[in-house]
Amino acid sequence: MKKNNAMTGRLKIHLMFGLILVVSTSVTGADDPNTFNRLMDPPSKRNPSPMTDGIHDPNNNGTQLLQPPKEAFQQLPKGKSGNYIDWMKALQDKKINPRNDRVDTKSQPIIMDLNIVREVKGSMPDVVYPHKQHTEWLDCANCHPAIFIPQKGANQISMASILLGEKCGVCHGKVAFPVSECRRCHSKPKPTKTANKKNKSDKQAK
Amino acid sequence: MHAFVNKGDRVLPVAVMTVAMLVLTDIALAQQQTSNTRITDYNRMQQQQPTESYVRNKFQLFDHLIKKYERGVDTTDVGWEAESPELLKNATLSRQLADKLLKKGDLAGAQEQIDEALSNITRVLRSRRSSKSEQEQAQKNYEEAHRRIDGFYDALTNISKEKNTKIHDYINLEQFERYRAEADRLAAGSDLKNAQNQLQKAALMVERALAHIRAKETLVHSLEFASVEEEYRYEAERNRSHEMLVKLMMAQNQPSKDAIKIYNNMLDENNKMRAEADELMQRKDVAGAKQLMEEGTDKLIRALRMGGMFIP
Repeated sequence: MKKNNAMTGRLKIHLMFGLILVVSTSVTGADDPNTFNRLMDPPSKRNPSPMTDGIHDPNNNGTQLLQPPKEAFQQLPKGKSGNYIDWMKALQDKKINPRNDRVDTKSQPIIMDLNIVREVKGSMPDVVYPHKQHTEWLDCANCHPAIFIPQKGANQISMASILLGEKCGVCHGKVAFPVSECRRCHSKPKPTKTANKKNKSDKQAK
Repeated sequence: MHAFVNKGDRVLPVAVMTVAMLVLTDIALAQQQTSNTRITDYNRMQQQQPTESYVRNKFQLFDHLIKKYERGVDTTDVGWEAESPELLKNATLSRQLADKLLKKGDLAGAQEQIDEALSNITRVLRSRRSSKSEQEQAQKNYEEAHRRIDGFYDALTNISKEKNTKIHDYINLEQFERYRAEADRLAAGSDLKNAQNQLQKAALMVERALAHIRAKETLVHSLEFASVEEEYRYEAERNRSHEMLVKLMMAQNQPSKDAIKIYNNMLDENNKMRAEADELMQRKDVAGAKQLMEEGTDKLIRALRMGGMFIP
């Protein structure tokens, strides 16, 4: 009886995964212009187990002992994109506690609480780059000077370069949330026309 | 169950909930089973005789490592360990013995010998890592760290000037300079490891100072163009970005054939406009070229909006 239940359960699971596979296959692009962006995989291909991820050797006994990401992610807050984990929330809620130094467990990161706003052309909101969220678990040396020169006006950033895996694209789309999450970076709305008019009339009144 | 059948409007939700509960319970059971299976598989593999293909994979790995060694061999390298030739000889002998045992069908013996061979060749290759190439890498890392610290120090100087404050309020300059000078002295004597340590101390000082001087600030990089030519170059890159985004959106959303046709038309029109803009640019009509490029970008923005991408 127990065996029958288990078999029925497995059948249901197989049917469910089969259905997911059919749906995801139909939405997978054949000629992806953005192949580096591996976090934008369809659900069936997200967070594969070490045995099937194409990174680890499936013939190695040790590979089987590694914890599959899906199992590891169960306790972490859910996100809306990428690997569907809200890593910043996980950090803030102390669900994860990355070491600042590999050896020194007491070492604390130097947190830079500086926002950089980059104005952009058109109606798209301006970009806000928060140093704080980045320096909470990255070292200055991770980005400077190889990716970003620490000098005003020295860095030309465009969506094209990001999509090609340069600048922000060195991480975003690979190990950080993907570039399809426009509003997470383009987060500072342009001043509205009425607000502009109001500002002008306020100035005139003064 | 009959009671639910009489209340027709409740049947579906209750049925769905029941099935969902069943499925969830089964998934939990299956997950537990998968986890148990994984560990059992590993134990089984440890206890069982190795398969021939498993051992042959190790032979392939060994041959690959030997080729890697032969490609990069240079025993005059700094750091080449004296014991390496002996290890290499032993590795080759173990490989030959493993081969003989495999031919005799002694898989366990073959595995033992090939493991020994792999262990030795790995040690040989590791010793090569601490050689010339590692020195070069250490030099490169040192120079990059120096560039970062110099850049941060320049930034700190400029910011303190802008704020009309004294740099001494943020950093112990004498100590910072001492670390930097000591690092340079050690690097000149090729002691890059200790030089890097000194530089790291200087780095921490300047990074802390910058975090302090810029705390809770917002810097705005405003979009101002020095000339129309500059704006044209910006617009050309913006156009290229939007074109890539349209292609990305098409691959990601898998739109209908009709929609694909529309998107492709828009991409074609944009390409024509961009080509015309480039021609205008060559004829020195910069303003006309910029305007045409902007119109092309607007077309791409319409395509992105059609695909549901957020552009206000």
